[in-house]
Amino acid sequence: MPIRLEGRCVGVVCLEDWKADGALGFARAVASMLSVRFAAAMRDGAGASRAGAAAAGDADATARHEASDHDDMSAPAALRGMRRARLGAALARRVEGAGAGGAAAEGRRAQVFGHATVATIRFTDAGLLAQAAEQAPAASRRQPAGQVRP
Amino acid sequence: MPLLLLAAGAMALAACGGGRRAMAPAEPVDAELASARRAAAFAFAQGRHDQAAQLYRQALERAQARDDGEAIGDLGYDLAVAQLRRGDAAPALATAGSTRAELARRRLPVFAELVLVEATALYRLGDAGGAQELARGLASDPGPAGARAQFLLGLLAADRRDAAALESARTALGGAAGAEWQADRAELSARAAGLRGDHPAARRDFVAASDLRRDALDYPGMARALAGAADAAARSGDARGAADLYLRAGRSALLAGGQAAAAGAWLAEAERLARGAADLYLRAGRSALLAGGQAAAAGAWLAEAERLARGVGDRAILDQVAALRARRLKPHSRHIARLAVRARG
Repeated sequence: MPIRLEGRCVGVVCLEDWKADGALGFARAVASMLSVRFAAAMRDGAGASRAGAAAAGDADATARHEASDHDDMSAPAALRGMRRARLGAALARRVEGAGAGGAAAEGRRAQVFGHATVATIRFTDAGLLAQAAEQAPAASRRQPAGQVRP
Repeated sequence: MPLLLLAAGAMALAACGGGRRAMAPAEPVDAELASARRAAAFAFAQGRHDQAAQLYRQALERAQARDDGEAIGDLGYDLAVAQLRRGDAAPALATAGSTRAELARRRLPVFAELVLVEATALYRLGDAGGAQELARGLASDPGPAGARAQFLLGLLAADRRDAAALESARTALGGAAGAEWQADRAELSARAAGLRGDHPAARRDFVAASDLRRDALDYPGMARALAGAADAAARSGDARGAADLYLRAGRSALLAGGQAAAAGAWLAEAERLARGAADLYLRAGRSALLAGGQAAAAGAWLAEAERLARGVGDRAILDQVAALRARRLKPHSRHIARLAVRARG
């Protein structure tokens, strides 16, 4: 599934099993989502050289894109900042759905499926990364002594 | 679910950061090790200890493939903790032992938490001497491992009815904040009260410990504290309260998993006590009813007998309660019948 931006192919989503139920629809949605983020970067005026960085989820570009959708680029910086924070939180809930805060907030129970194949799309906005790091279990450290229970 | 491979070529540019400020090259990361470890930690945090153990084993094998001593030590310990949490003390002990040997082979220090896992596994396996020896070695550790070792020493002292050693462990626990550590203190206080023969105090402290264990998300610990409270209740003569507490302990242990044997024993005890209590209430109710003048008390006691008998499915007691109620209602029914006749007349 190509990711098109202004007629140019800027990336591709590959499907191993395209006949699977809903696979094409899902890939289209992913491609559209990525395309929007590419477009946000282009509108940012950074040009093709920065498209990749923005596609990976530059938070400023995303916030500006959101602002332009609502035609209020003139909104005060504080308001844009709040929007950016809200968008970051919402994306964190959706994309990092397994995170404790996101899952709990939406009343879902995050689960681990050992034998299922999944695709993870991780946007690497600085804000999202900070939030994800806050929510993720500390995998780089061993379990605390309190977890050793008689 | 289809395997989706995201190959947005332009994304790769993000890493290059064309036009961005130069950054120091990051140390390469073994993605397989990092991802298995992160997944294992996540599964552990979700309480899926079976899966966490499986994933920690994968991560450990990767660390062995990398011949990474530090990671082998940490992951061997994590695997042992997950095995302990799923109720497999013997494999946990073996894992901790092989991890200790691995650290020794590399002349790396054996960290306190690893010794704590070994001591805890030995305690669960009934090797009180081995557990005591290892826990004593940790007692001077100023960190959480030392505090948990003191708790273990307190449990061992209570098991051998050594009140002085139990008090010493309880004092050494100090006043660390947090539900987990407060629960340790409350549980040792309950055990101390039990040794003194002050069963109401023991029950109160065990219930407090169970609440704190719940707050700390330690459900097996909570069930153990409830069972302790049940035992204290039974010793102080409250069979009905003990039956209820054993039921709560057994049900929690059964549903939380990892304590199948204890759950069975606690539920059996709950049933035995409930039958006994139902029988006592039945006899009290019958006696009050036949003696007369205590209709309200008789009704309440029969209701309690019925509740308990219903809980354990005791048909015989339920039939007797029904028979006694019919007898009690008989004069009343006759009166109602007379009123009905009058109203029709």
